[in-house]
Amino acid sequence: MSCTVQVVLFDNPIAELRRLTAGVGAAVRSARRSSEIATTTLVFGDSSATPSLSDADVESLQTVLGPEVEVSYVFFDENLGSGGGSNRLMEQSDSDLVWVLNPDTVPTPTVLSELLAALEPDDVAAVDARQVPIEHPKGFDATTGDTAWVAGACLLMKRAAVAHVGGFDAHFFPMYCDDVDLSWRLRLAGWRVRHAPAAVVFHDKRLGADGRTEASDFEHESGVLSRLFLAHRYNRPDIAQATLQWVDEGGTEAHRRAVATYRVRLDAGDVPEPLPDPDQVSDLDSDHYGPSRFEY
Amino acid sequence: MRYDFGYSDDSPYGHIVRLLDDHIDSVDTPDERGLVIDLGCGLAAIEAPAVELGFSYCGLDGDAVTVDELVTRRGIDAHLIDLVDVAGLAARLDAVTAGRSVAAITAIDVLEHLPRPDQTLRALHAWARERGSPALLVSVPNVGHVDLATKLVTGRWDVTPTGLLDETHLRFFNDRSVSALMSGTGFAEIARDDFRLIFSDQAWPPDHPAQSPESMLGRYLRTLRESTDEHAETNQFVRMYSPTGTPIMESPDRSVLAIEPDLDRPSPFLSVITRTTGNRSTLVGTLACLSGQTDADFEILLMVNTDDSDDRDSVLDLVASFDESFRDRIRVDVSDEMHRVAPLNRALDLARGRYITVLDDDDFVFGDWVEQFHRAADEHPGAVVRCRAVDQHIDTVGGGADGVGPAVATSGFEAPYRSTFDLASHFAGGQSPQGTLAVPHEALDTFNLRFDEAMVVCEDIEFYLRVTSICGVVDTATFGMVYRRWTDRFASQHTVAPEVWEQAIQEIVRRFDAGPMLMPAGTASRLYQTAAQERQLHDLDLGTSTLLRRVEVAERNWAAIVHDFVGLDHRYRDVAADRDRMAEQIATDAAAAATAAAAAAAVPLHRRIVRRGRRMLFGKP
Repeated sequence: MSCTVQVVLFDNPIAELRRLTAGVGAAVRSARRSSEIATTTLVFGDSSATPSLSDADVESLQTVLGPEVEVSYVFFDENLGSGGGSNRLMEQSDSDLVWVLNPDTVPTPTVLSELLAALEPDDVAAVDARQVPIEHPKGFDATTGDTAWVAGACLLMKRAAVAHVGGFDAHFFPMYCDDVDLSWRLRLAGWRVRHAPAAVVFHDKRLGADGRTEASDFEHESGVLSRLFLAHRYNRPDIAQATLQWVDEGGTEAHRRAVATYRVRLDAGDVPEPLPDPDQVSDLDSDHYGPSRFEY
Repeated sequence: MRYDFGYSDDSPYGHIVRLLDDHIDSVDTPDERGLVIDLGCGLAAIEAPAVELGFSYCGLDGDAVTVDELVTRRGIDAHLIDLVDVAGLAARLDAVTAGRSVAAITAIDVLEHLPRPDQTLRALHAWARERGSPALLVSVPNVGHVDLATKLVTGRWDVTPTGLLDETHLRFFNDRSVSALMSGTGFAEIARDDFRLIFSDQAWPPDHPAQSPESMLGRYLRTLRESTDEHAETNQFVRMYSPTGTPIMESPDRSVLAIEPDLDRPSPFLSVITRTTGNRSTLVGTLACLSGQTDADFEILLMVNTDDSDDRDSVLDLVASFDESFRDRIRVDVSDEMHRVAPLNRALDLARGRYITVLDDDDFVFGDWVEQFHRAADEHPGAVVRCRAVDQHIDTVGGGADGVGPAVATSGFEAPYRSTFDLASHFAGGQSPQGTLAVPHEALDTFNLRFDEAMVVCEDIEFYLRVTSICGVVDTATFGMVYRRWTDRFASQHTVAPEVWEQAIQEIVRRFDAGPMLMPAGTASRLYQTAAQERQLHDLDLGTSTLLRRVEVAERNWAAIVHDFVGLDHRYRDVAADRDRMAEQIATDAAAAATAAAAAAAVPLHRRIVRRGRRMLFGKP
């Protein structure tokens, strides 16, 4: 069973990628002891304006990783966004499994083994890990691990299942909710997606001075834009309207930029295509696109 | 200078003689116990007791008058010697000892008078090795005595004719430097009987504010000095050595009389101490957070404390599975003697970091936790560094073959702790989870600070209060960690009965109450606020008391009024009853009177009727 580890970059410092790479190496080595993971490749796809990694950088990452996992680097020369970048990387390999990681994560040695175990049943298409130190509040079934959607920060998927539903939708540009959308489409196609709480990954998220999760303007903008895309795709004009109204009444400059972008892209048809009968899986009424265990 | 201090058992001389007696074997013939060579013998204070113990005695001194006096007036075997003449020392000693068996050499108040005591000691070492390695006994004044330390705080360094700061002293020693000198010149310590004086010859002037133990500052400084080592009250180091060590070769780069200033900061920056019993699934998350730190200048001391070999092996396997760049920074210490606190103290002994922090095996830290500590410590070296924490509740979910599932969050974050450190509120405890504090290693070593293993609970609060009350605290003001609170079966292990907690807190308060303490900048405001609140409470109390007194008076008045009213009411009722009775009587009397009146009135009427009838009948009355 082969596996490709995919990381989409956007101006990430090499130090961040070193700690990620070290974690990937340890996780793969551990997984190989307990599973049939064979060839593994770590591939960085770069959406930055200029290349983030030099040849020497790639070589140094290969040194961190050792000979067991091959490192490769692709400079896209355009910003494909998170989902688009992942799709491009998936097109360039044919491994059985695809392990998507955010560049600001550090896998634990046990994370891949746990993800593999949770992915084992035939009807499971994708499994996500528990992020620390800020756990994602989305809910999951304590017995089966079934969850409304799987988060793309650390996500192990079966290539065949993902290909069956057409991969990520690159319209969710630049990022956010492409994982929610992919999960819902997989579930519409009859697959299950699971959360593996024993699979732990460090995700470098921090708290601001007010004790709340820090989010940049860019992240706020992407969040609103992606919510509007989801509402559009899953036939919830009321949610789109409520979001627009919320931005209009109390949104920030970043939120207003998102709305402006949405309107332009809606006019241009550059939005996710609406699905015919999405109600059975989509949950746009909750803040986290599904049941939550708690709120931050 | 010629000193004339008489011998007494309770003096450095007495301690030297006791060491001689205790550590040099007697032989069958008492007067053949061996020769004691007394370097810088002065007036040969130890001659008589040494001879009495069976030693023969040979005094050597640099002052010809003294030597002559010893020989001519007291008949003591005494000779002139120049201890600075290192080249001639061996020959001179050979000459005066004349082949006799040397049991010991003494140098009482000698080394501090020599310009290069190291050179004299090296020469002595070489000679002693040739002569059967007799013991060397020295007595050296301690400039680390608390009386000197407290005076120096105020800039005083009072050189005196004799004593700790004798005007002829050329060298000054504390415990570290005398030990370095002796071991560096090849003398290995056999025994010690240091001479202590609570108040040395430097205990003056009597009311010195930094020195007098009755002054608050004096008491504080004395306590502080006493906590650093056991020599605060050592007046003289009285020690016995064997010349069996190897002298350090003299070179311009290496002196046994001085130490090179150590300006390099210890490396790594931080020692993270994590104790684990290995039976929780949480450790991987804690280590994950550490593997993701932006600042890698830290080591982890993983104190595995379990008597279960499976738990121990699972921890070792987990550590081994990390990438070597991270794994190499983890030192694992395994102990199967279960104790909550002892592993932490052992970790403090093992730690190499410039700063030290303790992180529980179920807590998380953010990616810049070390970086924030590091930055604050560089900006405020020597201070305790504190970051902020959020609380999050956790619970196990599912469970593998061993029944212990991963512990996942069951709540969002709460921030119940003070945003900045406040000493007063920390006495009540629970304001700074351990992972929020990084303490300077130097402070722990200087003041021998460790967790109190005898405390049932709150030993961490006591430890951090002691460190912070010396070093102070600088806040990073950033959130550094997630303190994770168990809501399931593990919770009971952490629950402490309120009375046990309160008892421990009271014990801590009692310890701090025993002496003066240093308070951080800003305490004046805190004291003012507290005093103002006390004043307000006092005023409120006063007002309340006045009101209560008034209420009391009013109540008394009311009771009197009620009493009077009841009396009046009774009186009224009595009067009313009297009135009614009187009215009844009056009515009765009136009726009777009317009847009588009517009866009385009826007589004339009857007469008139009779008269009228008569007129009618008879025409004329």
